[in-house]
Amino acid sequence: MSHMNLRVENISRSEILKYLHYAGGDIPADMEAMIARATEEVKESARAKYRYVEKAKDARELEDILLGRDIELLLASSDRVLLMAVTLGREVEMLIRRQAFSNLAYSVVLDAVASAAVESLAEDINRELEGKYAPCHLTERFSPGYGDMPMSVQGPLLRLLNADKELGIATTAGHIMVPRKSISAILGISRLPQSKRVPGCEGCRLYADCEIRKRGGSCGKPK
Amino acid sequence: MGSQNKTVILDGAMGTMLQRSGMKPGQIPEELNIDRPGMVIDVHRKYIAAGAQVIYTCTFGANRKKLRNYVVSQVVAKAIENARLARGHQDIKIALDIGPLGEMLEPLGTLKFEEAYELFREIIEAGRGADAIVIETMTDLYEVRAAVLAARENSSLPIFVTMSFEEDGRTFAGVSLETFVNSIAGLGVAGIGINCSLGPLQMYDMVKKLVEMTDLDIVIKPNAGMPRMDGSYDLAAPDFAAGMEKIQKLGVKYVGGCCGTDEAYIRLLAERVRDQEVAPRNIRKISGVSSATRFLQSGGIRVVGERLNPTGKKRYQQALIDGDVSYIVGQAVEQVDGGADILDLNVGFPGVDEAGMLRRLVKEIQAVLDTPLQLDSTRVEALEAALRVYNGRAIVNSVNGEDDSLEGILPLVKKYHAQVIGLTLDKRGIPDTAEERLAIAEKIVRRAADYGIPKEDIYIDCLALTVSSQPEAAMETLEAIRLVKKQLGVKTVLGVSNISFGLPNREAVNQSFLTLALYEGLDLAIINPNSRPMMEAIRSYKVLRNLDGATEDFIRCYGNVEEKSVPEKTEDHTIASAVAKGLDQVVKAKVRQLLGTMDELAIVDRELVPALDQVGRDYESGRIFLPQLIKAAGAAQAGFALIRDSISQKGRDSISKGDVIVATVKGDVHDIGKNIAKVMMESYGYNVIDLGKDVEAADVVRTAKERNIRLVGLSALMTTTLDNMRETIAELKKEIPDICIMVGGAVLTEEYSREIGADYYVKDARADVEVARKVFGC
Ligand code: B12
Repeated sequence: MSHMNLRVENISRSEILKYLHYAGGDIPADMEAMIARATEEVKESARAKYRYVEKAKDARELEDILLGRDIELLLASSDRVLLMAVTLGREVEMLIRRQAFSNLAYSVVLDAVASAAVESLAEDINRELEGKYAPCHLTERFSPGYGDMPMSVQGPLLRLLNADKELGIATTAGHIMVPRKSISAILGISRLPQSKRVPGCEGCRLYADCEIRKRGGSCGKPK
Repeated sequence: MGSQNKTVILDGAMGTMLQRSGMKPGQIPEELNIDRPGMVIDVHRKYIAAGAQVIYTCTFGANRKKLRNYVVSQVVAKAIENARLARGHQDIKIALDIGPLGEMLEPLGTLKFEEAYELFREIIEAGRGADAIVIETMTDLYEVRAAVLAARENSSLPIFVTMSFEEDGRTFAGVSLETFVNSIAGLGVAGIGINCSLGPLQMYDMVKKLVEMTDLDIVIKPNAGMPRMDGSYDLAAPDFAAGMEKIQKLGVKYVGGCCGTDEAYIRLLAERVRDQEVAPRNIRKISGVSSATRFLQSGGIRVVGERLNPTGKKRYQQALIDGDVSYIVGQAVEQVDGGADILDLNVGFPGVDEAGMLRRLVKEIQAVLDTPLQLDSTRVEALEAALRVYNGRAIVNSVNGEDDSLEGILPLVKKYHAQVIGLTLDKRGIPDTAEERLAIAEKIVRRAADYGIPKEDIYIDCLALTVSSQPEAAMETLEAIRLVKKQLGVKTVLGVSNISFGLPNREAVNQSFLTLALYEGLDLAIINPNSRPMMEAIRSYKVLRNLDGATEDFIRCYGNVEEKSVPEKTEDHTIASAVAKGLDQVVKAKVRQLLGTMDELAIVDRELVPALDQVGRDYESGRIFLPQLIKAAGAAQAGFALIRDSISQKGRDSISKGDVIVATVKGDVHDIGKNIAKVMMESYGYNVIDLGKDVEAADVVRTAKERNIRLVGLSALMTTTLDNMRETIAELKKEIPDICIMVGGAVLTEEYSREIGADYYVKDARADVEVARKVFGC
């Protein structure tokens, strides 16, 4: 078990642009300036924290967490799993909200930068864990709410991480994490190398209508 | 709790001990009170044997949100019984333990303040058999306020409150020691302090600050150090006790342990400090106005934004009548951007439910800004409604020298621990001379003292009259400020702008008067913070008085004027190119030019709309991206505002193409998508009524009926809130069968939208405009 304060260092630019529905072409100077300013502000105001725990796959606490066919497939060769959560904290959220009243375009840029920032943090943590667990292999990171894993998993998962006390992540009655810029995820630890098994867009219920996919992107991990 | 001035030992962790006794994972600890009472009693006994003089009942999470198999009253009653059994006939106090509810409160979460109050009330009513109430491990000040009010109003037990701070000195919710103490210490609690999150070593500096900030008894219950990788804590019992002894020496009366501590920790702690004299403290009580995350110590010069006041402000009056919250919050943000430290909030206008509106706006403004509020009303119900939900310590504006006013409002100021403004007037009106105003001020200060409100919490307003009708008025007011400051030692406040009424070039007069008043010792200047001359007066006065940070602030504000980019020239643009680039000033200038030669509707149809359509096509084809689209919409909207003004000046009907409601459904907190949809429709001239996020179906239906709405746009981002969307649609269709509903948000699909009964699925920021065109035929 580990939990730590984090600094937001690198935010994936392509992720930011993806959230802003960018489809190639020039980015005007005023837009570049907005993105640069938002990146600074998000870095400055984030109070990021993360935590993970390791459990045996058949541990009783995981019974109401490892639900669905997708996670079963993903963890097929694992006997231990990692649960993790990461958040940017509430300050960023207040920042986004305030700007929505004075400069909506900028608020949308901040929102995109913050989403990309928490994605990037999850990515960093993922990499750190890969190093830590080598020579074992980690599966792809899988988040509740994706594929066929129900959102109701959020409650028990975050409880196991003691996320309210240690990370300040609470959930609403509808299982939405607050602060919004938070991610929870499950990874399997395995002795075998892992193929990229996470169900891609094909399996997503939003396949037909997803604007990100139509623009040639995906909302999953940056490739 | 505990004898006069002796250190009192609290117990250690409950959860840690229960886990060791074999509590199963997933078991709700509070339910063990009923399922395995022996386990709980055993923990209490161990702590008592170790030397604890106060034991916390096993009720930390005994609330309706967390319990599964039993109801709150059962669990709490049994928990108290278990504590009593453990205590036997020993002189041990039982504290009813109350932790966070486990669900996030508004504004970030969806749990309402009023609901939180009810949840706490349930626990407190069931726990009257305890000797005290402890509210602990809190990170959200709003939740603390709900709990404290519930405790005060439903029990007579002494109340102790501790919050959990991170190493950076703030809680997860951004609450600092200052905002915590300033808001809670005067709320009728017996003790205040810190628990959990950190060990004694990390807490030491914070405790050192805390003991000076308040004269209340202090409670400190740290963890057994910091957590390690394996979930254990890094401080052994002897080190913990040593760290705690240092903390006790700072003048802390109640000491115990939180996560990771057990009876060994408490035993060593008791051996060191039990029954020792509480060390004397060097107390310099803090006092000021604060929000949840921002504290302003009384005594500095502060700018109070005056613009949220209906007097003479047509647009604001209309917003109050329409319940147009986003306009009002926008005005609040603008004033803070201009330099307001505090915002005055007045909603008194015929036809407006003052209590309801004041309460609502307090919630909406504190959801967006950390700027403390000054609640401006003379109505007791309105003030009480607002003070209750205000998350911090407010200023009440105002009482006057009349008995009715003093007797009605001062008790509220006391109860909610606010600060108060006293106007130097009574039934005779505003006295002419400074001496007479001083006499009224004296009466106000005296009466406040009778209610237990100290001088530090009073601001006297010596009132500015207009110099054009009473030439001696300005000097009399200044003299009154001087007298009041000198003789009564209170703070002062003044609405400055009145002085110049009836004169040309009013800002020049206001500016000079403000500077004079500051020189006499004015503390709170109620002004328009978006007036450049007024803010210049404030900032330069601070420089001349050599106040801390004043020069830096001055240079920051006025030093880089030349750095600003050259403004775009109107001549270089057409409306289309200005809209496309999102240049709102240029669009406005263009529209202004055209208004001389062209009909308003023609400007809309032939200039603005085609420009927007082009931008929309560029967005669809991926030539521009989302923020550019939004910026363009914002610029077009600015042009629209001018056209609207022009039409209303000519007394013609408005040109709104139709009214549309937008809302994020109940349970959902995502509003970016909805906000984008709103600005797009507004840019095309539709009038959008924004009900916000987490909106009850009933509220959508009621507004739709009241305003004769034909089109409603609903938003939801997660599958878990789609049911509420479905329900909202069903209610709407039931009450208003021919209403049109469009839905948007990440998890919606064309197919699903049809399934839940929506008429249109809106895939992105532009598609809503097409729907509105279809519905309104324009
Ligand atoms: C960015 C993103 C994130 C970010 C930020 C999330 C946030 N809440 O701020 C991060 C990385 C933090 C994140 C986290 C999670 N996410 Co996520 N995320 C997304 C993503 C990629 C985009 C959502 C977004 O912000 N869009 C930008 C806004 C502007 O678009 P929009 O709200 O859809 O609005 C547009 C239109 O819908 C429309 N519109 C919207 N409202 C309205 C209203 C009206 C009236 C009109 C006319 C139009 C309209 O116009 C808008 C402008 O174009 C979506 C996938 C997707 N394809 O959309 C998943 C998605 C929403 N996430 C999902 C999930 C599962 C999660 C997590 C639960 C994963 C996890 N376990 O950690 C968490 C939950 C976070 C929480 N707080 O609870 C799922 C939800 C599935 C479900 N069962 O509900 C999605 C759909 C992905 C998927 N393919 O399954 N996420």
